[in-house]
Amino acid sequence: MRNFASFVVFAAVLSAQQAPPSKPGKVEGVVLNSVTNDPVKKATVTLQAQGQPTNHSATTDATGHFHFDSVEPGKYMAIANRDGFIPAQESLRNPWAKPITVAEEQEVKDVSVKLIPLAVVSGHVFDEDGDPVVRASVQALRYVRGRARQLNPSGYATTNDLGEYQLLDLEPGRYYFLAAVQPRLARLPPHTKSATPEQAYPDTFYPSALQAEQATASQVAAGAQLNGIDFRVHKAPAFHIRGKAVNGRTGEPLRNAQILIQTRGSVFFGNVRPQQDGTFDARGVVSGSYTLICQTEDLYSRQVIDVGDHDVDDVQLMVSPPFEISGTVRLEGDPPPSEHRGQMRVNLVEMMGGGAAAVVNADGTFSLKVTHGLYDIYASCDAGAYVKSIRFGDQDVTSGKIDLTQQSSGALNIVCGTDVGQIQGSVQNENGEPAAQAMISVVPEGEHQGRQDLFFQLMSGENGKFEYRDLAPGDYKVFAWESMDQEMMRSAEFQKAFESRGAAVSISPGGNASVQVKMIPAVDIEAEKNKLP
Amino acid sequence: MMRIALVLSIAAPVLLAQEPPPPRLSVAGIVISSAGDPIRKATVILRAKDEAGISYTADSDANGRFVIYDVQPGAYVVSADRQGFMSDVDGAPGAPPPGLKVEAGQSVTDVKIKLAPLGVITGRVLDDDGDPVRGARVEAMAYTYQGGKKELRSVAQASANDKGEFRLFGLDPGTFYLRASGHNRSRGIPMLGSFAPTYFPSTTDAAHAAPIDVSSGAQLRGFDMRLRREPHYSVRGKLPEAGHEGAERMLQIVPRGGLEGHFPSSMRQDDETFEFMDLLPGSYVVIGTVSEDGKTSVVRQPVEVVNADVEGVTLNFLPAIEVTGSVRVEGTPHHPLDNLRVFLRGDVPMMMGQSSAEVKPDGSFVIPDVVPDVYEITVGPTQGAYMKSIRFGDAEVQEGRIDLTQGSGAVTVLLGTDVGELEGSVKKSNGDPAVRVRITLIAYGAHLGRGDLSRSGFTDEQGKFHLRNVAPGEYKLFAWEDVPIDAPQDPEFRKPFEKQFVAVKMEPNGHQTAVELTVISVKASQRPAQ
Repeated sequence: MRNFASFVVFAAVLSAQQAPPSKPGKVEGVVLNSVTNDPVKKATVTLQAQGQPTNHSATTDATGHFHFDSVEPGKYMAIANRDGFIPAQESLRNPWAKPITVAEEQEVKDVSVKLIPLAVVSGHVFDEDGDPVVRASVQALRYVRGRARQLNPSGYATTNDLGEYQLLDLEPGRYYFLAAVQPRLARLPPHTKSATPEQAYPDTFYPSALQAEQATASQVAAGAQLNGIDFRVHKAPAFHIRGKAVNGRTGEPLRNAQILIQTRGSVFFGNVRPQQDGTFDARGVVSGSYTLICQTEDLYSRQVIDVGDHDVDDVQLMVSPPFEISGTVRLEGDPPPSEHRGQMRVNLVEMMGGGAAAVVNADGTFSLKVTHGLYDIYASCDAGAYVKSIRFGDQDVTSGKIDLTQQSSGALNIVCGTDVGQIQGSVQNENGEPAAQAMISVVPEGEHQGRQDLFFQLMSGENGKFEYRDLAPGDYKVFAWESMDQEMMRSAEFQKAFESRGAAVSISPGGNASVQVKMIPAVDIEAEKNKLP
Repeated sequence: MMRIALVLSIAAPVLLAQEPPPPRLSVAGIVISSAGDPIRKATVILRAKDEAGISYTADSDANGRFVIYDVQPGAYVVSADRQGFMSDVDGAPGAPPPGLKVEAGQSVTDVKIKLAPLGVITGRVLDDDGDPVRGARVEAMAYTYQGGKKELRSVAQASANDKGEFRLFGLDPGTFYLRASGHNRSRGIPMLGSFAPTYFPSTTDAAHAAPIDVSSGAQLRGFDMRLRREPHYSVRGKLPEAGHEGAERMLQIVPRGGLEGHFPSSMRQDDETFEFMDLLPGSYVVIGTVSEDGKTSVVRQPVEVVNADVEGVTLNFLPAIEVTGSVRVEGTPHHPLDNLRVFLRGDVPMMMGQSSAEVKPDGSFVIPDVVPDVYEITVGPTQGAYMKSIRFGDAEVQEGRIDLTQGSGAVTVLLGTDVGELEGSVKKSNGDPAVRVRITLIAYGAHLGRGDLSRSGFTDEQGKFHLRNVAPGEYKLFAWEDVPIDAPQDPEFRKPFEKQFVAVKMEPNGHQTAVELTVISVKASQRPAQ
């Protein structure tokens, strides 16, 4: 079967190559496990030709070897892939691929492509008596450093009838493990009294903490096999969230709907259906913070409920239709309508992932259909411009946050500034030599602090120099990193640790600034990464 | 909770002063397995038959015992729920739990709730070299009936671990077929082929899958499966000429058989061309929508992927159709007919195969953006009413289907409210009452094929039944001892039993009583071929 697959691919390649008469070369090599250096069999290796749609693909044999016997001369990227592995970062510029150049009739040999083995974590979920908990969900969580530091799930499993789970294919990193046991009470009729004290299992971090702050994080190395990550969950008093869902358009009780209940970490908890009179009764809720989401075809509501040590009654869920927010995007000083060139979009993104997107019309107008909630605004201007101000009604929302929990109308006006400046710089390593391929991050400071849309990253050239145009006027701090990942670059607390190592720069309207930055060595970055929880 | 406590503490002294406290009525008993062992940590539910009544719940203790105090006199059904077990009572599948009557002044302390352990199937998923397929998706499939159609559906799922081992659990007794497929973990990096969904022991054709019989509590081991890597193909084609920038375009490809199971695919799209990649051989449908200047065009184009890339697919977008109409009610409904919706169900089993719209208070409805196709039209929920007639344009609609391929037209649905009731009793062949068996009423004569007029119910502890909301017309009435849920709606399933019915003719607003019939035992008869 593998031969057949290769045949199909090569047949396509050969027929495509009949036009240019250049003589093909060959490529061969091996795929290795980055931890053990053992060959990896059955890996897919793809040669991606730059600027060409056709790729060459092959599978490694039992000794991890692959070969391409007819490769058109040119520049390629070699990428390996296999279940249970991720490609190793070969260089900063090409994080996943290895660059290969094939000349006419050249035999490129001994190409080694590395794969990082993924980790496996397994264990049990037991209750207070040591009985297995069936269908508990277990998550591996990692801190993600976006706009706010947040624990995000990056692996998920459920326990079987023996209470066993296995989290497969975790990337190396520091993880928290969380077990959630959903109460099996959804099928209880309304008006049900419990003869035994109402109890439920709170979400439990490994080994038995109720808060992430008290939990033990585990360092999971590449290819690690962590067994025996066993949870003991203990019952806690459970309460009710009761209330009424109301159709915000008609004022009538909302019947044919489902109310989704999520715990704070946006983990699914359960759902409840309102009765004929719109009332609902969600039981089995332990103390903590919950988000109630009710969505029908055209109505939506979202409400956060804090549960302490007693039932929460009389929650009013006003489930409302979406409303329209209209707005304009215009160039500063330009009287509307101003033609814009590219395809501009305005997005409103809600915390729970909901939101609305609009394409800006040629005359600079747009409209968005949204529901009540707290939104992040994502807007960008055409090349050569930046978002100078965003106003919602008479409110300045340039910070990128808009509160639509109360308002249901208003105009969103975006002004794009054209008085952009530029920055030139050079990066040196510890020895004062030009540092090529350093990651540069340009972080807005002062009045623009926290503006993610004004945050830029780029890479220094071979001579250690870099240049960026279309910068909004204002203060910035420029950092150069020897190695970096996307999450860390945007992390405020991470940047804070290196605050003194950034170069401050001020861009005046239409101005030009230059800056010299010392590259932060990879060892320092790694040391700081390990300090973070 | 606190408020209730407060009310009681005020009310109790008043009661004490005037009359002796009412005896504490209790319901107590034990939850046991089919083998007679006590089952702890089961959730016992005492459900009031009266919807407004109070229901009760309790957990069984370490000895399987439970007690519920202060139960209000009334009629209840009693059941217990525990992971890994199912209810073990006589009766047809889907029958409600047995009843329990609590009389004033009398406790019920000998309730015995039996639970049967569920089954487990374990095995390994290996590739053609015998290496484990880590993370493989394994499904227990079973034939079930949905709206009178027999379908092989995934009823339990498991993921293989890093050694390829899987454990499917919580299986009801019955016949299963195992299906395994690879898990797509390519993370956007090209893969050379993937594992085609395979049925146990080693076939990609569901018709050749080997049945596995699972009895209550069975632990079946060693069900190893071999998966073969199949090459991937692409589907490429041209998009219709792009409109201006404001056009919203959506394009996707889905397997014709629906979205169940493994489906790795990615796509590339620019202004003029599209490519769906990483497709295994099979039948697909390309679904697309273009919205521009308030107008929507749609496409639903079948594509067959055999053993090569499919090139030059041209998508023929058609203007979407708006279906308008009205729902009228004849007579006075027995129940309020609100939250009515109109549904259009196409033949394509996918998320885009169904459209619906609410019926406004004046009875009108508008279903926008419908793909031109043939649809079954239904109105619901219609408790106490039925679809008496459907007109599409000038013509009466046959079998509830409207053809939108030749354009749209006004749809008029007339709901009748002159429904009747049917009461009777069912006996076993030995003359004993047939308890908790399924009753099915199937429309015949002028209404042959109208699944929406079919009614279903169960006999009670005395073998009696009572079906309500029966539309006027001719029916065949069946009683089933052991029938899969929804199976009697399938004409194919009924075939071997076509003579074992009682003919019923329901008059408008009729009420028939004392209908008697004998229960059918499916197992005792020849089992219909799968």
